[in-house]
Amino acid sequence: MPTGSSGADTSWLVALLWATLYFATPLVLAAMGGVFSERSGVVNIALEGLMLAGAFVGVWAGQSSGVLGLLAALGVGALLGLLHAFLTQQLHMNHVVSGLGINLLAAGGTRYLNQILFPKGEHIEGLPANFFLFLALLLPLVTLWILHRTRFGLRLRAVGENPESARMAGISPGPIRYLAVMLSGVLAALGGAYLSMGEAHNFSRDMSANKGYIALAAVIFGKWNPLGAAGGALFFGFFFALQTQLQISGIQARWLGVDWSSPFLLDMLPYLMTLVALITVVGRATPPAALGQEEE
Amino acid sequence: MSDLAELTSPIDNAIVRLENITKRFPGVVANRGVHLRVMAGTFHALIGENGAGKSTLLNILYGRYRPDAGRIFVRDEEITEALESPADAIRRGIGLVSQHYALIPALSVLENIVLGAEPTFPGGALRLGPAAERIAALSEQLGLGDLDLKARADTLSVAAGQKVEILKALYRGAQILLLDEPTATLAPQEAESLFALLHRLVAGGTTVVFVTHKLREVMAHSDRVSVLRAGRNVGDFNTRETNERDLLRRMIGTRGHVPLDIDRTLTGELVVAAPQAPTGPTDSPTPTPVFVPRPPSGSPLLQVEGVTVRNARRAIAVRNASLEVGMGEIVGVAGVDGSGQRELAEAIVGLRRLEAGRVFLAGIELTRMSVRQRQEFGVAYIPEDRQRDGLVLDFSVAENYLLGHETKKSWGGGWLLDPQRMLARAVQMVERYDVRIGFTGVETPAGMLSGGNQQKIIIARALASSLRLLVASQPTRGLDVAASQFVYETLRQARARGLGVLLFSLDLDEIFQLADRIAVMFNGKVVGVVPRAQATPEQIGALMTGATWQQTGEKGKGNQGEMPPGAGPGALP
Amino acid sequence: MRARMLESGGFWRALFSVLAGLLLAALLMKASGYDVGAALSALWSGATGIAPGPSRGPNQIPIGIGAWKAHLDKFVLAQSLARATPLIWAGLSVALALRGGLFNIGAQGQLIVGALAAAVVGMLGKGSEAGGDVTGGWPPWLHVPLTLLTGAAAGAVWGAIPGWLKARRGVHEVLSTILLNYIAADIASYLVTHGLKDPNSHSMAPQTGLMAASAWLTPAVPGSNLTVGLLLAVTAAALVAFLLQRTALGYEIRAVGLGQAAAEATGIPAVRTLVVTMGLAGALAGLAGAVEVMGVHHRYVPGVAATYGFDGIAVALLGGLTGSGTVASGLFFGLLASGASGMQRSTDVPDAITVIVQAVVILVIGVRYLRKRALPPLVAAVLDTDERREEDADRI
Repeated sequence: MPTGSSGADTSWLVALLWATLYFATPLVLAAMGGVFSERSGVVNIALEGLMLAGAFVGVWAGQSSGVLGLLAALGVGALLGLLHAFLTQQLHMNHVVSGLGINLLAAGGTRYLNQILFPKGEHIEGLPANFFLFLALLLPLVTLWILHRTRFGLRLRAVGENPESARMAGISPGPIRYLAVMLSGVLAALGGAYLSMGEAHNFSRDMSANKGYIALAAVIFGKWNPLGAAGGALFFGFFFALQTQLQISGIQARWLGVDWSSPFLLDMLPYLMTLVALITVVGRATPPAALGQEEE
Repeated sequence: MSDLAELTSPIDNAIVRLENITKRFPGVVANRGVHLRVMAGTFHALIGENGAGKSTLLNILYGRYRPDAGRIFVRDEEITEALESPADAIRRGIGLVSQHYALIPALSVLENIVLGAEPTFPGGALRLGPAAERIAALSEQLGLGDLDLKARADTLSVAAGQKVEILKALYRGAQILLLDEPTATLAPQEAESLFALLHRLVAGGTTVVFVTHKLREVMAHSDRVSVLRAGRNVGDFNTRETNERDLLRRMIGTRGHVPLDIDRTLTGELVVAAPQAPTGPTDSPTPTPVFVPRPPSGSPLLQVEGVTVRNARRAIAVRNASLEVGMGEIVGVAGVDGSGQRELAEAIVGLRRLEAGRVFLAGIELTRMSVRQRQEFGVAYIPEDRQRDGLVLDFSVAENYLLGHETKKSWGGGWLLDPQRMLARAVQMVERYDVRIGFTGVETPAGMLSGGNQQKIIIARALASSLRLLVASQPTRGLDVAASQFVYETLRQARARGLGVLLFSLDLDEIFQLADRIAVMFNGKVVGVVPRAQATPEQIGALMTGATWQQTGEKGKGNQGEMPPGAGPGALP
Repeated sequence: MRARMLESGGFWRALFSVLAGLLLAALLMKASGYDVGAALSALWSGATGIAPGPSRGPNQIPIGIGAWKAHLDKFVLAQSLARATPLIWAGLSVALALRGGLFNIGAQGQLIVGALAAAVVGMLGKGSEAGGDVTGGWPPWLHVPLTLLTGAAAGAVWGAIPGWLKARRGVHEVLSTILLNYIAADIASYLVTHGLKDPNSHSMAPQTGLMAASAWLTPAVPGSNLTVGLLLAVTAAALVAFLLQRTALGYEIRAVGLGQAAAEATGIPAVRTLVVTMGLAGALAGLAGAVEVMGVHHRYVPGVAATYGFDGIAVALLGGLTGSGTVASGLFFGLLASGASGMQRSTDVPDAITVIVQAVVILVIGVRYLRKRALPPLVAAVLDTDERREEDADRI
């Protein structure tokens, strides 16, 4: 931990806070996608691939206009979400298998197209990072409102808890889940678009870098609750920020013969903290009752 | 009961008409050409054994299943094609109170009631205020009293949940109310209160179709009754013009003889089963006198002392429960569904950690032992959910026999499995217990078997080990009469062999038939232990619903056993 | 309808998924303006070493018939088989875990840990070098098994962690293994830039020192990466199959995988079984790493794991979670990857196309795959039909 090494200078702290917000932004956006999908009963490991696809399409279609790029990114998110819904609901595929397949599809597809379309990389104007940040601050509240104060939200929760009971109440679970998973794709793609359009202003291979999985961990950490998931995303974002801030600051920390300021150990920090968080929290969390079940 | 004389012209008055309904599931025909007429404003009972096709018929009328053949009419309009889902049935004023898929636990009572018929502002935002008022008024009108609409549905008792389900159906304007075995998991008093409500509804013009396998209920409450057997309607009667014996004959047909106690159970007489002659070795150290609660000498076989257990959601499910089971004794645990029976059973067999308390078997403390260690000391378990906890459905019959015995040489287990021996053993078991496994033999996946045959595998597996205590959780749930009878016979034989049997059941009749002593659970506590000979259904029913039990002071049974320690509320801490 | 067709049989389903993947890849190449024929031909010869034209050099064996001249390049084929070796190991790791009901996405991390541990043990026992002769070094018959075992043990420990987390803390293994992959890679990178850094390296290259030659696996074709490791992987596949089908432990693994609740209720220690399953899966992945450093790099280098751990998922799923299936599908993906490298060299088609093929294979074969058997309750009475018929006969 950085203990007062920058003296009375608070700019270090301010930078850390801002970095936390920016690192958390894609995680929050994708995590909201995770909430929609998982609360409807569909495990969404595919967040990772959805983010990556969104990141790529945002750059590809956003060369002339950022807004166009964003819309295209959201569209591809919806399409891949549709694929996940189709595979899991229509073809009764195991949710994890489908998610892994989509992640591979996104990884392979973006690598392939990136190599063909942007052999030298592509710089784009993109969209202001603060636009995404604003959405990330707003969306958890919107998600909460949708889940608890709208008909769609009530039905979505019902379907996620027990699709058969929902059917008995006169609801058709299929369309609800399709919509939820597509929405999930849109939000994850939005998170991915931030990475390429709002932050890097270009696309690089595998740039989602497992943020989709971290977002899913945030959902679980937040007990499938939108605000909790956003909190989880901030928590993980903090450690990403801390890691970069520590690297920038060049603090040296040796203890027990280990160089704790090594970039590798700092890089490990967010993953380690995510794991620790899952270990301490998950045992007590109750997932939506029908989560991941393949019904007939 | 509504007046039958009002039904002057029943033919013209049919609100529901099913014609020639046939429904097949893979491997089984649930309904074969069923005809059924239900008159408007009547209380119509559908009776039949488990597996007779009653539930299927209700579910077809509710749009959950589509019939393979036949026609459905509601108010003289054919809806066979239009009835694609429950939503279509709801739209036509049909409501179903089902046995299993009841309320959604994680949603509030209010959310459960409005689900699928939510009042909204334009744009889809929920508008629950007026709905809550309407529901409160409806509840008032039906005499259901105050209902906490904000409470999570899983905080409700089974009986309260059922009433919420009825409210849910009425909220959507149901005029035809279907109920699938609603009394199966209720205490007698709760069942009476439910019937009172249903009669009020019928008086108000609602049509009630009620599925049960209890003749008593049919005779006491219905206007008309239809009997289903093996998927067919084998007779429609005005309840007044028939009698239990007739109905019973229709229900079980002429196949074989009617075993004595089935007969009596179904006709609702609570009788004490005749003492069974011990079938084990005659020099059995513990003969089984029916009215002696436990052997006079020595300590009891199973002692459960002050046990507290949490459920899967980490809430306290069993609170400071104490129980004893003697050798050669069946102790029945009665209670309405969800009173902590399952958790207590799991705690005794080692599946659930004890928060407090201790468990002894023949003086040896089991508290910290694993399931397997307890098995080695002679504890066996017949779980409530046999498909989930009893069998690996994708495993073959033979592999399922090996479950839990896979390290035993004699079973074909051991470090290296011995498939030859495993198969031979399975074939032997299948023959001995008459398990119907079809032409693929013991290689058939267990998931392909009927409930009764699955239960036979579980029982055979449990009894084949050297056994001292058998913990059976709802062992006849979903089984037909023949299969249930097999289970009863098994439990009695176990008692005759000197085993202790702890039987958890929601069916009071079953408990009265089998148990030597009856323990009652309510809200996670053991609220009383009564020798069966001194118990009455009313008394047990009162305990099941949490009423305080008046000491009956019935000590006149003389030499027929003394009140064991731990019996009665006085012994509770 | 298609779902039904895919259900009909393991082999045909696998074949169908592979063909679907290759077809999609071909369409994608066509759409991208590549010469599909040339690309596929480069893929084929890069994968199998079989190419038209007369043989040249000692590694090429003529196989042409009559006027048609062709040759088999032993070296190319050996490299393809070498590429398949870690895939088979990783595929076995994923398959074994899945049979036990666990998604091991962590083969990647387990492989890294195994590789690093093997490299460390491989650096021991070098003996002293005097005038070109090594004296006092460990004999290969000791050093090779010891190094393999160390790699397996390290992978087992790394694998057992998510097993334990799942069993005891309810942490979903997909998340924990993904996180542990990162943690493994970071710790390994730290160690090879600090304590385990190659002392002789002039550059800043983050790698360990060279292993003793006594811990090397010798190539089957000179200069290639193909070693006895492939044979070991095939043997391991047979052992895994034997374990699952013929031992009590394997039975317990399958029982927990198919019905954990029933397994627990009948006394199978589910926690222990989950940990052991993941430990064994980790050991197999660790062996993949050990074989890679012993046969190919002779030291730990970052990137030794490539994406083998992840590729193992596709290998296991295509192989139907069986030992022999995993070997076959490992060979397929190994040849495909090797061929794709050749294809990228000669025709510029990005080798990422193989990832797309993998994705399609998973998505096609995953249809109705691993589906929990959920019989509708009413279906259960299947075999009572005879009884029913009798009843009908004497109906009133």
